[in-house]
Amino acid sequence: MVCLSRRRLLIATGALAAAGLATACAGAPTAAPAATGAAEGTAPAAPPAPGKKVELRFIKLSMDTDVAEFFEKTAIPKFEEANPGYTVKVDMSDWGHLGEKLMTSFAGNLPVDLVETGSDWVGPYAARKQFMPLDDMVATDYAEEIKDYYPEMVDISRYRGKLMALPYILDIRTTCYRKDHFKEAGFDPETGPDTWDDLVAYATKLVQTDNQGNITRAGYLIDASTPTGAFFEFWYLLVQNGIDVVVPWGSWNPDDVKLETPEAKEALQFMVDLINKYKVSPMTGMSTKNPDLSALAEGITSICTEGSWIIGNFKRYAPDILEQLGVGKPLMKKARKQYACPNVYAIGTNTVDAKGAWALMKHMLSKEIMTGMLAPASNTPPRKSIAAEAEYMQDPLVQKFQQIPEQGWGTTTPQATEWPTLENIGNYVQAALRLEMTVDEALAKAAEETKRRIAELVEAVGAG
Amino acid sequence: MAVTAMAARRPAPRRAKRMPLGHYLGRALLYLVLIAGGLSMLIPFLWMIFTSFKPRQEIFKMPPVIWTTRYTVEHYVVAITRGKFDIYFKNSFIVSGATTLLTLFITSLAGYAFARLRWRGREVVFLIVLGTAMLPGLIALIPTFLIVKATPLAGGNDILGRGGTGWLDSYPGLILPAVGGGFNVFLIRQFFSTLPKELEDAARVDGCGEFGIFSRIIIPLSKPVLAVVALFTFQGSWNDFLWPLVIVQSDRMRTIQLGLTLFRSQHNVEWGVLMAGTTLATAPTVALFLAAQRYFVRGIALTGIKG
Amino acid sequence: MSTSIVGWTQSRKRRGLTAQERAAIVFVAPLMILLLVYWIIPSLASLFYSLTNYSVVLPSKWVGLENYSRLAGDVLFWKSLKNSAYFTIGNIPFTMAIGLALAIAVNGALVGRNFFRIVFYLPGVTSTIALSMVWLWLFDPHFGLLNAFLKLLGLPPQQWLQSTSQAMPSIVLMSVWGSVGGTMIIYLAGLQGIPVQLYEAAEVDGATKWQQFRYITLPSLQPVTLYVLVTSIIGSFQIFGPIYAMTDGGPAFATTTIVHQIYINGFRYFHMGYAAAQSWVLFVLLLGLSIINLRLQVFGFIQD
Repeated sequence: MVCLSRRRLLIATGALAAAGLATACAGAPTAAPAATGAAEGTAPAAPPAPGKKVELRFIKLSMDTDVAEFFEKTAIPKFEEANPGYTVKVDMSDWGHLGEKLMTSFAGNLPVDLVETGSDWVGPYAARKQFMPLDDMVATDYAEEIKDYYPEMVDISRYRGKLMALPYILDIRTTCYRKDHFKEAGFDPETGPDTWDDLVAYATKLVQTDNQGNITRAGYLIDASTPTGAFFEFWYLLVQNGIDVVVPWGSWNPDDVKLETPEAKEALQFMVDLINKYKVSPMTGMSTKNPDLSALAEGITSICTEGSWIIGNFKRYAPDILEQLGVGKPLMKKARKQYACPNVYAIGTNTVDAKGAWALMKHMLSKEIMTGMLAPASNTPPRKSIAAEAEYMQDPLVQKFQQIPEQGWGTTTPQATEWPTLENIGNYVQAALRLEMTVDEALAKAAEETKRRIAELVEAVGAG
Repeated sequence: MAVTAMAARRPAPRRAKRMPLGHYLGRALLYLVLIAGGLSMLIPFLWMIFTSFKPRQEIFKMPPVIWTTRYTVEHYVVAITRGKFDIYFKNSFIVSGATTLLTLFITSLAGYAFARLRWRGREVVFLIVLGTAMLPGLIALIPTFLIVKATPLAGGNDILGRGGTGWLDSYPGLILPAVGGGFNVFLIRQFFSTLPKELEDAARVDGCGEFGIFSRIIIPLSKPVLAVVALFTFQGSWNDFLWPLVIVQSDRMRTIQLGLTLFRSQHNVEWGVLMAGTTLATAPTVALFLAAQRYFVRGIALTGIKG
Repeated sequence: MSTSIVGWTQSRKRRGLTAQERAAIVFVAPLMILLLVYWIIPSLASLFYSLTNYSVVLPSKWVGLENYSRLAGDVLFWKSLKNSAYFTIGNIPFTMAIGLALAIAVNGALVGRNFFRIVFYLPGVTSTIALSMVWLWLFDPHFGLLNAFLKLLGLPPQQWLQSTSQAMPSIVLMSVWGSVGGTMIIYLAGLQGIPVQLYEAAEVDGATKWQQFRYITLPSLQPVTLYVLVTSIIGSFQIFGPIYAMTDGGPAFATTTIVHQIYINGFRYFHMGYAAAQSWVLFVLLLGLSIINLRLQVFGFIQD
């Protein structure tokens, strides 16, 4: 008995040893070519075995509860019903982890059959040949439907002329405020602040503090508690001052990084002043007590920059004060600009089944599914027909958002910058806000590193 | 010499007994400090548990509400239904359990060879094993990721480990690289060496093979050290973060530690739900510790100081 | 020892491997394969990668020592070194002093001795991520328990993790809280190894408690102290979990540590060659300490 079990152990160990050795030998040397192959999109999608369902991996950004419910109970089952050869495996991610998730997916060759991301993320992935051009598929069976989209919201996802993604939601931001706070302070509740000077005048009057000097209600909320938050708060001011991180928008030339221009310095100085001189907001933002409520709905700020989801937030969680929500125009200094950027769907070049992925994308972009996904949070759509017909779009507040890109006030972060690069700039913004670095020092470092990141990417993917 | 000199200055014993007040004051101070210290250790844990059972509106009351009559399990329900903590919990259990069992088996086999068998190169191989315990796990992180990805014939790979995902995002990928541990081998070898030689000699005379001796004689005598290795391996695996962070891609493979960081990164932190998840993540290792604290203390002593 | 080696060689010459040698190969093989595949090969591979601009998703080329020379001019790398050192220096003295004091306190006769030992060690069995979440909540500048406590004492609220100057001390505070228990138990084991006779003799000689501590306890604990010191430095220099979970290196890089930089470079920018170079620098920095550690734990044993 005992001796038998030893022999069995011997055999088992031998097998394990053989497997392990094979792994060891195959491991290191083949890893690089396999990954490179995947990145170049040369790895052919495995044809589905007959009778076996193909599993599509869908990397989806996290959603509010009611949107998630529609997504899980309606959107995905409907696709699986209509396309019996496919099942959909959904992997959720938030913005903060999306980059890591995508990169480890491409590195590990885990299929990215469909991914939701921002159109301002598309450039570097397209440059690395990680996203698949959609032009052929659009020409084949989407040529009519694509006319229903706002053309500029489609073109924003082009890289060297090729369409890399299609929009599904418009993230349009503008200045929002509380009418009741405005009335109390004697401001006109029907129009918000118009210029930077207005903002200072309004916010300094609206801000409230306790007897120890702690801000209990922000005049203009600046959330610089995370590097990403800090970057975007800075970037709003940057584009309103007539400049951007990279100018022109689609440039991949590191010398076009404009973070050291006088306009950029002025924008950052204004942000530093809002917090340290005018003290209209704590630099860490404000925490809401009810995690469902936005800061504006909870009344812990009077003015802030938000997207149209703020309307959905009031409607769902604070309906009794909906009439106190004011939606103004983007602020201006040299230009009236705000973030107006679609979330998009893209197909990874390592997809297991491009046909299935395209079918899933079209399904998610269909009028019915898109409306179902956007309506609960009052998100603005990229399709003209939904903007015109959907019931939730009849709300004049939502229409105010939808009009921002139509007025030419929309813009987005440059094509050549990646999320970690912007986050890195955000770190230097935080340093300036905390007076750890001067505005000039912070921007000089941010510019240097941004230039280097772009140069590295250009060098790696080949110049052009 | 010095001793006698000191003995001459020795105070009369009675004098010490005449100072009970100072003694009691000292004791009182000691207890005071210990109780304060103990409280500061416990309060974060208690606060975590209180928060996880408090209704939303009371979580943010300032000054904080400690006692409320309206405790609720709603945050646990949300953690499980929306946060999928049941899946994360199950994954953590599978991964930690399998890592522990495999580690026990593999390290005790090796420990037996190092302690009880005579073979050429034993010391050199043993030093290599210990040497790997010195490498910071981080150095190997990136290539290990690539090796796991290139596991032959797994996850769509061919025999050379190309084309697919290997063991990324899978239980074997989470478990196998964590199995072993040079230090566990050291502990087990050390313990095995202390067992009397006569036992196995008698067994050898009876014609028992080495695996028979290992499984029938050595293992039953070594429960204390095996318990220590098992406890620390389970705890280490349950609490591991960096490796799962790198190789887990999908919701269904996520471990509980990863689940926690995911909750934190949502737009608005739902402290009640986060604390419910944290309580769930903390409970198993704390329960294990309370149940087996004897072994924990011994294990730390073993790892801390040589024999 | 040497005679037995001769004996083995002779027996091997006669009839190949002995039964024990064959068994040993089988017994050691699983462990050695795992170590080879998941430790030794990856570590050597990482040295190779550090000499390339390997980035997984893009074609890579040999760059020689370029990654290492770039490190010298990388402000963030220096900042992360500084932060790691700050954490280490801030963390260790407190952890060791409090750990030793607690060990002495719970070593003697005491009501509830076991209870105190358990309570102090409780954070030691909890994951750093879970502890980070709890402390994130305690540190919350608006609703956290710590600021509520300060308010109770009439002190102004603090920004904790949100302030560049307080973020690292806050993490040190959490870390000391979390690791004193482990240090206490190691010291406790050391204390129990000191022969009671030493104290009895000292008592007879009229030595005060302080003298006993100074001339018996501390010298006897010297090897333990060295061990704790070395392992704590090695551990502290590699802090990552709380950084990732609580601050992600912020605000304004105030808490970015070496391992955090390695993670960011490797898995956010996918500059794996560069990240590999950083990990080798960390390895070399800690190599001396690791060797001392190994000697402490092992060589005494091998000699006997």
